[in-house]
Amino acid sequence: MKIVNGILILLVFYGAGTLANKWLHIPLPGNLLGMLLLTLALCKGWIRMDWVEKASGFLIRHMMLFFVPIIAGVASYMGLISQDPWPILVSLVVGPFLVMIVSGRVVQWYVNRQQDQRDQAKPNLPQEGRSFDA
Amino acid sequence: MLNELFAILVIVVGYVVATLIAARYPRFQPLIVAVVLVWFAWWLLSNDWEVFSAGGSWISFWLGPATVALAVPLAKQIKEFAHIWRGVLLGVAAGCAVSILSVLIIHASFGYDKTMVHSMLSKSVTTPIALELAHSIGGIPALAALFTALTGFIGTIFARPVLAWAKITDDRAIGIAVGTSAHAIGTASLNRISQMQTAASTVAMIVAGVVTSLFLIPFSF
Repeated sequence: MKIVNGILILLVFYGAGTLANKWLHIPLPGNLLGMLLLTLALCKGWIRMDWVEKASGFLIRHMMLFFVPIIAGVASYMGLISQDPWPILVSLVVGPFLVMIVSGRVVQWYVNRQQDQRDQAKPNLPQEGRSFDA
Repeated sequence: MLNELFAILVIVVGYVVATLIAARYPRFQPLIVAVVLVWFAWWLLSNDWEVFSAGGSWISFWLGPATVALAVPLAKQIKEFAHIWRGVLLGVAAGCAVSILSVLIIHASFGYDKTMVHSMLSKSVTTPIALELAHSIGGIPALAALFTALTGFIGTIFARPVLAWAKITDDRAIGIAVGTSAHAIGTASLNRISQMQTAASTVAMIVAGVVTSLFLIPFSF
C-alpha cells in the first residue's frame, strides 16, 4: 500500500512539473521541475521521506525497463547514424574523457584548497593575537 | 489495444529475462541484452513497430515519475555536501559545459547536422532527463537515449585509469567526476567501492541534469 501511495505522490509532482512547464512556460523539462519541487518539499518537510522512499526506490531500481521500448525503437534511425558516424563516435569517446578530467580536477582542487586552509589555520590557534608576518 | 498489451508484455518479459541473464553473467550489460532481446522478439512475433511504440509509450511514460523519484536520493545526500556545495556546483557546471562544447566543436569540424547534434547535447546526464531535453530542443529522443547509454558505458570503462592518471584521488572528486560524465551507469559501478563516491556521484548526476537543462535553454528556440 505504501508503494502505491508513494507513486501517487510522485505522479502528482510529475503532473505539477509538467503543468509548470506548459502553463508558466518555464523552459525546463516537466519531469525535472517535478523533481526540483519534490526535493524542496522533502527538505522543507512538507512531504515526509517515508511516504515516498519505497516508491522512489522501486521506480529508480527499474528505471532501465522504462528505456527499453525507446532504445529498441532506435533501429529505425541506424541509417541516420551510419550516414556520418565519425563525429558521433569521436564525441562519444572524447566527451566523457574530458568531462571526467575537468569535473574531477575542479573538485579535487577545491577540496585540497579547503584542506590547506584548515591546515594553515590550525597551527596558529595556540598563538592567537600574534601577527601573521612573524 | 490487445496488440499493444502484447507489446507491453514482450517488453516486460524481455526486461525480466535480461536482468536474470545479467545477474548470472555480470559481463553482460542488462540494458543492451534487454534491448536486443525485445527487439528480436518483436521482430519475430509481429514486426509491427507502430503497435510496438504505442504499447511502449505506456512503459516509457514511467520515466517521468521515475525522474521525480530522484528527488529522494538528492534530498537525502544534499546535507552531506552542503559544506562543499560551491566546489560541487563548480565541478559539475564545468563538466557540463565541456560536454556540450565538445559535441559542438567536434560536430562543427566534421560537418554539422542539427538534428544529430541536438540529440547528442544532453548525452552526459541521466537518461530520463537527457530524453526530455533532447525532445525539447528538437533532437530525437530515441537517439538521445542510445547516446546517453553509450556515454555511460564508455565513461565507466575508462574511469579508473583516467582518474588515476589525472591524480583525482579524493572520494568526493572521484564521485563527482564519474557522476557528471557517466551518470547512473557510472554511479552503479562505484557502488561496490565506496559509499562516499556513490553518494557524490548520485548528487553530481542529478545536479548535472539541472545544470545542463539550464545551459541548453538557448537551444530550445
